[in-house]
Amino acid sequence: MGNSTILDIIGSVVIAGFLLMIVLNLYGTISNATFVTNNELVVQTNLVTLVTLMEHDFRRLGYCANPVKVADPTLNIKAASAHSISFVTDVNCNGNLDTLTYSVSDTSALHSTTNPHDMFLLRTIDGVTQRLSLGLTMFNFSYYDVLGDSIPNPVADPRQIYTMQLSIELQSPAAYDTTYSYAYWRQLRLTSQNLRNR
Amino acid sequence: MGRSAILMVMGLSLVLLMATSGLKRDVNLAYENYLTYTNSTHAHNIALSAANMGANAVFMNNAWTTGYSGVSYDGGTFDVTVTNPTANQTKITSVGHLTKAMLGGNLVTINDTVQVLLQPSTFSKFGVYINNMSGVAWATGDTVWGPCHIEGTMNVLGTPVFYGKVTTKSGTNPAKLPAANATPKFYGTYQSGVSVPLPTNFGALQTAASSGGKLFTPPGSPAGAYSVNMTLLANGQIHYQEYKGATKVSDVTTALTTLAPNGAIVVSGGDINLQGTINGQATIGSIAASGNGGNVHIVGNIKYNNDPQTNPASTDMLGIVADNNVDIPLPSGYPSTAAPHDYLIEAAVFARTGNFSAAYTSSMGKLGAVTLYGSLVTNTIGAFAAGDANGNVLYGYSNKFNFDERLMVGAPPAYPTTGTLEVISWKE
Repeated sequence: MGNSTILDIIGSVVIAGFLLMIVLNLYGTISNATFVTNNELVVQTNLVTLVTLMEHDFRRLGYCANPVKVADPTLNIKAASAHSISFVTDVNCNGNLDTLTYSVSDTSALHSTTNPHDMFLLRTIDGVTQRLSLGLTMFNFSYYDVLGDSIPNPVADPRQIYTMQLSIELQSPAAYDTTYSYAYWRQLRLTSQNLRNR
Repeated sequence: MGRSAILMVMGLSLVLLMATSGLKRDVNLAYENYLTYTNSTHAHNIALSAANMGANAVFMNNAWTTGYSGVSYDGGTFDVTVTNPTANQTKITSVGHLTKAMLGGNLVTINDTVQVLLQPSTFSKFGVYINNMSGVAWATGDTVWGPCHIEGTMNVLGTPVFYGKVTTKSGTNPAKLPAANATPKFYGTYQSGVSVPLPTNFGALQTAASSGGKLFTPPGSPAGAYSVNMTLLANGQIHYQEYKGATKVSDVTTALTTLAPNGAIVVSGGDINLQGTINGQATIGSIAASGNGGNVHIVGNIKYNNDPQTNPASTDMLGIVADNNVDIPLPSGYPSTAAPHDYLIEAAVFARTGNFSAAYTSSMGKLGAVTLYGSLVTNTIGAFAAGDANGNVLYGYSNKFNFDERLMVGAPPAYPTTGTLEVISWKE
């Protein structure tokens, strides 16, 4: 038990301390990476779910299994504003016309997440509303007429709408530190073939 | 001490291994999620392209039912089938197939279907069809209801309003819209490069009239111009008188369905003088023969017994078809017999080589409006009044054309068709 032994012990303690710090630091990094990656997975999955649903609905804007019921395609969009749109469609393809409305709730309506910016996406079919909690933080429409000019919101006469642009941003329900994972999707010139029928 | 350090390193490695495995799984899931969406979109685009190819083939040849099978396209394949769900409807079903390897190496096939329904297009679907605008322009104050087609260049001045789909063959004048002096409002889309030529004759209507309808032809004698006066009666009958010169050769009142069970009534080689209230459906046409006839003169109001302006469920429907002109003449005996103040015409009007107009003279003054509720197809633009430089009526009639929305999906019997199909439903 000489000086060298004491030095060994001190050296070991220092090395162990370093290793412990490395482990703790690594733990933090891994936790961060895991949290963020998982959040991004959730956000991206939600985005694909939302976009798939909306593309399906918008492709059938003005569609009806009984075409006689949508005689005038200019009347397919019933109302439109920056954050909502209402149009006729045939959700179940049963030949009965439905009115489908997309809109958003206030940010205060979604209490179940810690994200103060997210809100419900409201999908209303014939007055029955589905509230979708997908971390939606932005849901903006821009509308254009047949000459490509922008139509001011809210649209006074929806018959003017020829194309529309939809911008969506989703954020994770919770943040790591104060950073939320997010995903952004923009569909340029979203429209339906049924607006041009006949 | 060395042993514990090794244990810590090994433990650290184990933690790293587990953490990176979890991270990798999340990253793979996110990628696979994205890949699934991309592949679905890809398959949809293939189906969409194939539907457009099928629709184009059907437009080029209405009888095309060959379809496509297993055609390679854009990394996938597609099939197109063409069927006839009803006698006059064509259905194109396009299926896009895309087979892609997912992350694990397993192959996944995605199928996407697009269905397009088409039906023959009739001229009555146009709120206004003009073959040749000549120097006339749609201008501020003009409002066009229903689909509008110009088989040429559409002249625009100021801010006319179009509530239906507008199509032109040769674009607009000015060519680029909006322009400083032309800011039209299109509420129902606009498309150029669309040609819907007028028919070269009304052969199909004449055939319908001679088989299941009523075809009037001039008797050999007496001499003189042939004409038929027709008065539609609200009880579902029609009163007609045939004239050869000044000689009346027939005077009959009969049920419309008895005279023409299929609703097609044609006078070949003579003019028609038409008025009354129709209870039922008919297309009444004057077809020129040997240079005679081909005109329909409207000599009084023409109305539906069950007015669709107040009852959209009304099934009364009338087509007025002329090889040359559909006009409102001065009344017989004018000026002793005054010209009516207003005219109401509820019908789909078709003037193939001429136009729809009203006779006017300075002695008649301003006489209200000619209101057409239906559809108008005309070769050129007819006049209803003399006006000043600002478009104000000096004498004659102002005109109001309102589209009968029922004509978007229906048409008077045997009414001329465009010879093309139109998309009535597009399902993705």
